[in-house]
Amino acid sequence: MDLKDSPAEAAFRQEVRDWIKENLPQEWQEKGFRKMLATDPFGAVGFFVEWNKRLLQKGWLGFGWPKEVGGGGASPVMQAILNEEMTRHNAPPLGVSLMGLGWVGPSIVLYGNEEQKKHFLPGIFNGTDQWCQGFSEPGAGSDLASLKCRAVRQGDHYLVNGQKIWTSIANLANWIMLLVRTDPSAPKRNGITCLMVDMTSPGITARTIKQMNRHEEYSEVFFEDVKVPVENRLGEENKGWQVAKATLVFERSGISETIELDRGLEALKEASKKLKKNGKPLNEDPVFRQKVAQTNMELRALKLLGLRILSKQNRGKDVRNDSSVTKLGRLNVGYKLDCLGMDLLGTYSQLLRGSDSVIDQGKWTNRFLAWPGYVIGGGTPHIQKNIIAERILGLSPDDRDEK
Amino acid sequence: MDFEFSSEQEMLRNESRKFLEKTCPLEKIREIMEDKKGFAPEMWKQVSELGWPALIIPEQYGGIGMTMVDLVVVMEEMGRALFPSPFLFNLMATFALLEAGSDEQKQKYLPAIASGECVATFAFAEPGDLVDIHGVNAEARPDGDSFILNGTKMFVGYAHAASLIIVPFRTSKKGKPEDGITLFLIDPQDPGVKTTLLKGIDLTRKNCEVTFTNVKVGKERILGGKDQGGPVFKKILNKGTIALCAEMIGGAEGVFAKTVEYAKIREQFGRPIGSFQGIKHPCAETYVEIELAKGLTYYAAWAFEQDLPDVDLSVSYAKAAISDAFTRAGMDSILIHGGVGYTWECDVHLFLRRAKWSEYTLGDATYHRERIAQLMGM
Ligand SMILES: Cc1cc2nc3c(=O)[nH]c(=O)nc-3n(C[C@H](O)[C@H](O)[C@H](O)COP(=O)(O)OP(=O)(O)OC[C@H]3O[C@@H](n4cnc5c(N)ncnc54)[C@H](O)[C@@H]3O)c2cc1C
Repeated sequence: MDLKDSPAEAAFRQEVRDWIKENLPQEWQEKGFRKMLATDPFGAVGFFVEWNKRLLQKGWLGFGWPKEVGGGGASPVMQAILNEEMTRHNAPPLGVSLMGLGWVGPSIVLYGNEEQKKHFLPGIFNGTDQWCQGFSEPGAGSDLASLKCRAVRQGDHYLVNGQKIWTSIANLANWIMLLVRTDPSAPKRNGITCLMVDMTSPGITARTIKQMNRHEEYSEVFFEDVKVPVENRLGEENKGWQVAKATLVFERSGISETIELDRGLEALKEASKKLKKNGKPLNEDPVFRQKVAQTNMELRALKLLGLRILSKQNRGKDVRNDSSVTKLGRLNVGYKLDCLGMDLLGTYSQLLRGSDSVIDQGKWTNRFLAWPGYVIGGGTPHIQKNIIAERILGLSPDDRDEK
Repeated sequence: MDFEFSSEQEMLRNESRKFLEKTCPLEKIREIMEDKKGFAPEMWKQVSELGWPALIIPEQYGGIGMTMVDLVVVMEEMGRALFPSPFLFNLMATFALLEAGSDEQKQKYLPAIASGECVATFAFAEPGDLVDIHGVNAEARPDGDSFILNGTKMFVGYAHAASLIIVPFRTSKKGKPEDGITLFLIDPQDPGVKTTLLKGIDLTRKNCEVTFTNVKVGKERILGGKDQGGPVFKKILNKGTIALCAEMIGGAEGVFAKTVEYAKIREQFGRPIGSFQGIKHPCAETYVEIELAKGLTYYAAWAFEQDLPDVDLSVSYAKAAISDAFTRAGMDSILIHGGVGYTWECDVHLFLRRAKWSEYTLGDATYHRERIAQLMGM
């Protein structure tokens, strides 16, 4: 056990810091991506594209992917250091094609054939391709394997008919990684195939859905006789479930996210010294202090859990189920933080950005209203608990239809 | 960066676990519970042969010279097994001697502690339920070259079985609360020292009330210098708390393992109760809570090993986390066992009792959260 950086890790951390100083304009370092995007959207996007180029040149895109496919071949700990330093210094996200780099790319690396790697990976590296993930359907969310969107093989292509829903950034993406049913008679997990589909194909309609916070980040996507060339199948026919579950050895410690949460807590602490309730600064209220301390403790615990998982992964151990543990931990503490932010403002927490008398531009209220999206997306807490109980603790599945 | 235990530490864990499973099963613990001593001297001898009391004592004093992280490993196993022994208190006395003892004092006591011959304990609480330095109000009055000690110490673990008690007294009321504290080496046989065994919730651990009535001791009994005991006392509380946290993690895991095992074998409505989400989800939550508390405890031990500035904060994080988690694991276990869980014969209540004792000892979660708030600059 040694939580310090090894000499190589320390050197790399310094390299990342120096590189950021050199490559990220001062204003960005101070304000961060979101603020820059809000003040000057075009300028910010322009720089983001440039940023992607520089990262690519530096070899820091797909940093954990094998070298043969153009990745960096970095260990989980090195990846975590890169992520951590980038977050700490307010850098834009690590690459323009976020879903492509984080999720679709690794599946292609793992399951794609040579042609597919040559065809799809460059667009992900360059940021010219945006990917979205077409998994959930109106009737298949938590029970994803019951999905119905149908694909029938006809010679050199599949004909796809059906619907996907809650597809994040479908309105921005030019590719979708799609799970379809190819064998309705097989047990449900054995009849699914994974297709990579061009979003401009005839027969695809995507409509954004308005979320409770008025944003429109996800969509419903309809498929009507959409032709998908067979060479765009990822993995074998009816083996799509394995592809969907695949995770390459990329970093999942969630440490960068704890840095964001830390910032929230720090802001909360400072604000509590200034805001008064019943005539006294809130930070003197013993109950409030207890809650902040509890949240702080949980946040610290989450970071350390992340480090433990990272170390485990670095030694080549299986950490697939651990992401359910971190997700639950993160949800608990994130929600507590947002509620504390609302507590802080009291009745003023009802005011939204743009209103008279609003405090902090309503940022705590915005966070609170965005929260359910994080909780539900990527598997609800109930499902995470099922995973922990069944796969880690070995309790038997409930009455769920496992066919 | 590596947050995993070394292979030597894993070996230490396995050996400790195997030893306790064999030597100290719950049937044996139930026998010990009924005995006034509250521990089995022959077992103490065996663990001394394994080197447990000697773990953190340097080799020059007959010890093994291992680290806080090594210690955490062994403490976890003791907690998992509900090992009834003076270990924790003996450990805190050892910390005190190591921290503040003169070479002569170290030579006198440490080898005897290392070999298991001398059982020592540490008095860290007083009536009034004050934690930390504010809880040191018993007075030591100078009397020529000697001191006259008066006052009461509460919840002194295994004082009735110890041959050495390290006791903080107030020797001066000037300055800050930590300024006027002096540690004394007390022999329970000293005239005027009275030890009364208390009847406590944790049946696997014995506590005493120790009163001092005009106890006269020479200045050679001072550990670490007059009025110098405050910082030492604080450090020992920190270190003792980490050790306790590790023991609690072991205890929480120990009782949780019983819960999960029972949830797998007990059937109702034609299937294992563990398949019901009303059982499954609290199990998953407890698992997460224990995992979170582990990182905090391991970090705190490592921070001590490295002498990092965030030791105080790390200790409070750990104690706040595991205090809540252990009690929850214990109470959930009883509920998940159903009617049988409420019986005397079912072992899980022994863990719940231990959890409650541990929760309030050395500061409960509320105390440590307030300390976190202070340390984080609220
Ligand atoms: C912001 C956001 C972004 C998303 N982005 C994407 C995306 O990009 N691509 C994509 O494919 N999907 C996406 N999703 C969909 C998401 O994965 C699903 O919403 C989620 O898996 C839940 O499915 P559902 O909405 O059908 O709810 P349901 O599965 O109907 O669940 C309803 C409730 O029942 C509970 N429940 C269901 N089954 C069980 C069970 N076995 N045990 C206990 N409780 C159970 C759930 O926990 C939940 O509380 C996104 C969702 C959100 C909110």
